[in-house]
Amino acid sequence: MRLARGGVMCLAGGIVAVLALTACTGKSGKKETAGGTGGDQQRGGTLYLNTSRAYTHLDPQRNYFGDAIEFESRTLARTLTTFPAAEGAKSTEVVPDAATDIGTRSADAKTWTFNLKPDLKWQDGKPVTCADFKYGISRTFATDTITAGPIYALDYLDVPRDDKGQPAYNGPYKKDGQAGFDKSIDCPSPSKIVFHLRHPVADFYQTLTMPAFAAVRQDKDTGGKYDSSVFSDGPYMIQGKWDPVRGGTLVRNPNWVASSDTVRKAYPDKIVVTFGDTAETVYQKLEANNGQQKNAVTTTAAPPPAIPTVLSGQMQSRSASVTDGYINYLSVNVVKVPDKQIRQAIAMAVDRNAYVTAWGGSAAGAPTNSLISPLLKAYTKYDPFGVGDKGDPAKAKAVLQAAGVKLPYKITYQYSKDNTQDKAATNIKSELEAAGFQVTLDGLNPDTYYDVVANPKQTADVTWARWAADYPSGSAVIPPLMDGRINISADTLGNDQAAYNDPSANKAIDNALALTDDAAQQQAWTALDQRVVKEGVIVPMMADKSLYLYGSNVKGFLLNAAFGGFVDLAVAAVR
Amino acid sequence: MLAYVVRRCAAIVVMLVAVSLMTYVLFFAIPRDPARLTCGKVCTPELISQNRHALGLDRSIAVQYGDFLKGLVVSRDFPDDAELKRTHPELITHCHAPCLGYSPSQQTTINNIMGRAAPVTLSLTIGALVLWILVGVGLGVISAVRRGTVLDKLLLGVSLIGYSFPTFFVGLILYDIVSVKYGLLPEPGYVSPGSDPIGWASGMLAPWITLALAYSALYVRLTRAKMLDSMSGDYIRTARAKGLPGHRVVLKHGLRASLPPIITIAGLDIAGVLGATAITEQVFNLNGVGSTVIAAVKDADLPIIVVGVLIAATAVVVLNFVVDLLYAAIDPKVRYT
Repeated sequence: MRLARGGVMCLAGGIVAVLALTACTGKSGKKETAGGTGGDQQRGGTLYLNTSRAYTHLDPQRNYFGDAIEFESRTLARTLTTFPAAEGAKSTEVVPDAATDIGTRSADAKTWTFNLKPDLKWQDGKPVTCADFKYGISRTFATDTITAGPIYALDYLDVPRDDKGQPAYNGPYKKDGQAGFDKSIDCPSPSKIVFHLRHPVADFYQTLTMPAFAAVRQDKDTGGKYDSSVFSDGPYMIQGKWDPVRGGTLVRNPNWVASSDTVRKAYPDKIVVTFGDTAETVYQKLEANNGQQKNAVTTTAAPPPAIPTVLSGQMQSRSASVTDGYINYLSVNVVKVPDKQIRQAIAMAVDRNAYVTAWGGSAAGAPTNSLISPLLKAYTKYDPFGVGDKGDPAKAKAVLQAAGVKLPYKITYQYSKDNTQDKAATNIKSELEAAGFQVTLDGLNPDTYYDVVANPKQTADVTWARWAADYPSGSAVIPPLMDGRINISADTLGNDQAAYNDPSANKAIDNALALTDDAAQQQAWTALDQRVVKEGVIVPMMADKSLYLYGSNVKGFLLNAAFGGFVDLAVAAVR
Repeated sequence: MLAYVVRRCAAIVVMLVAVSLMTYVLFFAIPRDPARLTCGKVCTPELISQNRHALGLDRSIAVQYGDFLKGLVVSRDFPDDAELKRTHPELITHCHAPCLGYSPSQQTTINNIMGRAAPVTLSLTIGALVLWILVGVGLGVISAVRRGTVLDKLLLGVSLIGYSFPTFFVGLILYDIVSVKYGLLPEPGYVSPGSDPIGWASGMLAPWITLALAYSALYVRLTRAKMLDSMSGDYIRTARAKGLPGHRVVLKHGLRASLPPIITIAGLDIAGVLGATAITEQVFNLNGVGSTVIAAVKDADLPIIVVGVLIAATAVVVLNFVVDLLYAAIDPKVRYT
């Protein structure tokens, strides 16, 4: 989840500060409680959604960006389980969606059984069946056609393996190994689904919230072109064709049965999505609040220049901010800086308060010392070196001297270059130099940033990165970032920029994944998080926040932390 | 003359081949792996190499470039997979010759992508051209005729300021402040002129002004200089002595003599603008060729980048050629052998 395109890729938990809807109270109407926010939303009207960056993919199996996942989950694609429309960490408490409950698991957490609700309908009125979910999930295996999506299904489902350990199944188009796949998902009846996993997955009910596990109807599948013609089983459907570059219009799905859906209220009659305005223009329009902008929301967070205006008295009643689940952190490469004391000196020297200030102050984030977001159960507050958020260059210098290296110790810091990061990097340089380092700053082109820092030949001693979990579990943070076995090969470090590949840590990851008790597993992630921080491999800096503005007619504006802090279309209304 | 045209056309083809080849080579030199983009944030090296193969990126640059050239004369299928074509023909995208390629990020042929983007860029360029010629030449003539007056100095000063503003600045001011905040200009956007000519013109007005501003300023100064030059000619004195009315002297004798160099420069400027509308398109959220190519650079989508570069290069070389030919038509002193 860290594609550099300013992209917000996925979800985590989040504390949502939904402000009072002062601009739109006073209308009489049916009282609805929208996920903890009192509201008086009514059906009808058109909601406008303006977003800078086009959704990379709307094909559910390819959808891997938080804003697009949230959008699709709330409008077009139902999943077996989902996140409720609720504030803060409450939104991460998974609820049933297409299924009647969040699943029944075997004692070893390798077999999961779900029953589908009655009245689940496609937009043409045909029932949604187990076979449709099975077909949808099978598409993930067509890795050359259904690209860029989450690939949990490849790892989890008990499909026979080839000699390289890859699944011996290449998806529903070529069908090599179809029989092997068919055994991994059972359909004892059209409304019952049984998953057979190849290893215990205690948080599988969370993984299933992703649209990658949504149903697709075989006769409506258009393979690599499905992005523009997603066939809906949610409350809305695409009017005409979806334009991946410009957006499109959603209208009500006449066959969606409201009583089958406990999450989506589907208030607006129509949702018009427009991509491509710059973030500045999106905010200029929302600030002006003219015409259709009164009914507008955005999934583009306020850019730094717009933040003071959005927080000003006049706009404040139409703004909301959320801890979005992203963590900004530094990786210290263990191959280039093998001495633990030197790495710890780096971790002690940096000033997280100054870092947050460089990013825009408390509207932009809060200091943190954990790789796991404060919104996840696996988070605990941690101060490994007793230096607080401010850091302590003097103490760091003492540790560096104890390491017995010649001062100043030379290091290079690579980051994705922009004005904000330049400021933050300058601070880091001066803090580290006060602790006896000599720092070379290397700001890299944002478009190729992660390619460069993942290249073992080009990466530096210290590199910046940003990450948020796909689903609210430590298993979506620690293994993808810190397990060297799945990340590192001859020509790439993958997401593991620190090149960390410690056998005992890998063993601890295996042990944690094998735990069938979710609470015990989360504790194991906490321990691993604190381990990599204590070893100076990861230097967490800031838990990010996003600030949003919305039109004055919008009611029930809720930022859903579980989806990455984007506006929750399950409860947003314009009447 | 014929030999000259043939020679020039051959040179143009060679040049375009060179440009496209260079784009291919440079693309593979950038530190970005398109195969990495085909799998999500958690990805295995095996999957990346498998997708690199599926995208055809594991073949040599020469082979890939050869396929691109071949597509210009014979139609291609994407993905080019005989097995899939047999079992799932509906998943194959057929691309008729001249096939410009297939975009993995947008899952459609480049012909489709550019077919949608080109009208936007053409609308933008042609509208801006008309605007800057009318305004630039018109004010230039006035400035020349009123030489030395307050009006002349004002026009020259204003045009200098107009010329100094960067396009992105003017664009943002016009869009965010003039259009959005105060609603003085219609909301920018592109609709097809065939279906809604008024909507097209009003939606393109702010982008036209943005793009035309700097050029108008330049043309005011250019026209003024040329006009002053021609108006000092003996034949102008003769025309006046004959008793021709003032406006006919200025327009028929003065302006006409000044036009050839202005047309030449306008031709070259159109070519430059066609390749440089990207900023204006980005600011106004117009999905023209420029913004399509910028998006493609971010997505590491080589086929779009190559065609985008070729469109810009073609515009420059072809219009250069046209201008050279026009020279012969306009100026009898020029002969091509």
